[in-house]
Amino acid sequence: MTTGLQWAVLAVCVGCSLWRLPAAAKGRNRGLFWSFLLVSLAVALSIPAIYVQVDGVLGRENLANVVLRLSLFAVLFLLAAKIAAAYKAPVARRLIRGPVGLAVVSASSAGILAMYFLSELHGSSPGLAAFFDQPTVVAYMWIGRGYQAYVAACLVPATGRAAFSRLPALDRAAALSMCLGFAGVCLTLVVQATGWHGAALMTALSFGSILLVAAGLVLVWVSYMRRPVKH
Amino acid sequence: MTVPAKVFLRWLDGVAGGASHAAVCRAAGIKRSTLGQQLVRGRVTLATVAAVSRSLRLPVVESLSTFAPYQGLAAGVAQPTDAELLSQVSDMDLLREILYRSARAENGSAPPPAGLSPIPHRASVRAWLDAVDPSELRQSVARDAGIAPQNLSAQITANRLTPELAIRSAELAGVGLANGLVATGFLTAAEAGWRPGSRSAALRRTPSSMLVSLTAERLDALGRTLRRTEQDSAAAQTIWENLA
Repeated sequence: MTTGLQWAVLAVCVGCSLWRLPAAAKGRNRGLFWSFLLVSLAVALSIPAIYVQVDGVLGRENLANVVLRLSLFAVLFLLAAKIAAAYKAPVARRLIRGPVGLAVVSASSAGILAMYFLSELHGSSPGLAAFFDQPTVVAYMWIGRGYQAYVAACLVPATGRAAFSRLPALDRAAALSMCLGFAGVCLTLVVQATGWHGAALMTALSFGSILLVAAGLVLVWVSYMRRPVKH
Repeated sequence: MTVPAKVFLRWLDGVAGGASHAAVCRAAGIKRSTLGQQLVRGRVTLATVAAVSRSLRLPVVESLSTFAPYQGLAAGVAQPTDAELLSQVSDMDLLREILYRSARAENGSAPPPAGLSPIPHRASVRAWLDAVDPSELRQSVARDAGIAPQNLSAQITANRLTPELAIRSAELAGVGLANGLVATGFLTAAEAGWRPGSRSAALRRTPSSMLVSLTAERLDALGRTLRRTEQDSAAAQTIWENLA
C-alpha cells in the first residue's frame, strides 16, 4: 500500500517534470521545472529499493539521505517563494526569502550536515530507521521536518485566503489543493510529536501532501491553458 | 421559487388538456428530463410554469397567480414608476440620450438615438432595487426571506434575483408586483403589463439635470464593477505568471 503510493507519487512527479520541460526550455518559470525535478529526486530516494542502490554508489554511509533532505529544502525554498508571490503574500515571501527565511534555511541545512557527521551511520538504511537510537539522528529528522513545516505554515494562510476569494472556481480549487497539501506537511510534524507515528501514517501524510501540492500546480496550469484569449 | 408538483400537474391538466408531457416539453422548449426531475422531486420551478404558459399562449402572470404563494400577483400588477422605467434603460442608452440632447442643443437638430437596448441590461437588478428602494430595502428583503444579506448581495452582483425574491421586493417596496420579474428578465415588459414604448417615453420626459446625475451614479457603479473585475483578473494573472 505505502510502496504503491510512493511509486504513484514518483510517477506523478516525474510526469510533472517532463510536462514542465517544454515550458522550461522556452524560459517560462524554470523554477517550477527544477522544483519538480528535485521533488522527483527526493521521492525516488524515499523509496527503499532506489535508496539502497543510490546509497551503494555513494559509499553506504547514508549520504543519500542528506541528498534527499537538502533537495527537499531546495524545493521548498524555490517553490514557496513563487507560491507566496503568486498569491500576493509579501509577509510569507519575506519569511521564506527574507533575512529570517535565509537564516532559517541556512541553520537547518547546517544542522542537517552537523547531525549527519556527528552520527555513526554505517550501512544503508532507508529513512535512517535503523539508527533511531542515536539522539543525533533523531535531531536530524526533527530538523528536516521542522523546516518543511515552517515553510508550509507560512503558505497555509496565503493559499487558504485565495481558496475562499472571488477568483474563478478552478483557481480556487488549485489554491485549496495546495493549502491542504501544506496543512498536511504541518500535520506531519504534529503527528510526529504526538507519538502515533506509525510508518504507514507518516508516509501517507507526507506523500499525500506532495500529491496535493502537485495537483494544485497542475490545476493552475489548466486554468492558464483555459485563460481568456486576448485579441 | 417552486410550486408543488401535484398542483402543477392539476394546472397543466386544466390548461393543456390531455397533451402528453413530451408534447408539452417540446412546445415549451424544456428538456423532458428536466421536467421529469422536477416532478420526481415534487417541486416545479416558476421558470417551467412560465415556459409552459408561454408555449400555450397564456398570460404568464395569470398562470403564476393560480398557484397559492403567488395568488396576489395578477392583482398586484401595476404600471412601473418613471424611476423603475429609467432603471431598465442601460448605461449606454442613457449616455446616448445625453449626447443626443447635447447635439440637439448645439445644432438645433440631431438624429434621435435608435431604439433602446433590450431588458435586462448588465446591472438591471441592482438598478431596479435602487430605483424602488424606500430605505433599507435589501435588509428587509433578506430578513423577510430568511436568507443571509451576503447571499442577496451575491445574487444582485451576478445580476440575478430569484422570482420569489423579486416579487417579495416589489411587495415590500410597494410597486407593481411583476416589475422586479422584468428587471431579472424572468418576464418581458409586455408580459408584466408595461405599456409599449413606456421606457423611451420616460427617458424623453426626464429633465436633463436628472438624466445627468442618474447617469453619473450609474457610471460610478460601473466603475466599481470594472475595478473589481480588473482586480480579479490581475490576481489570476499574478498566479499564472508565477506558477504556470
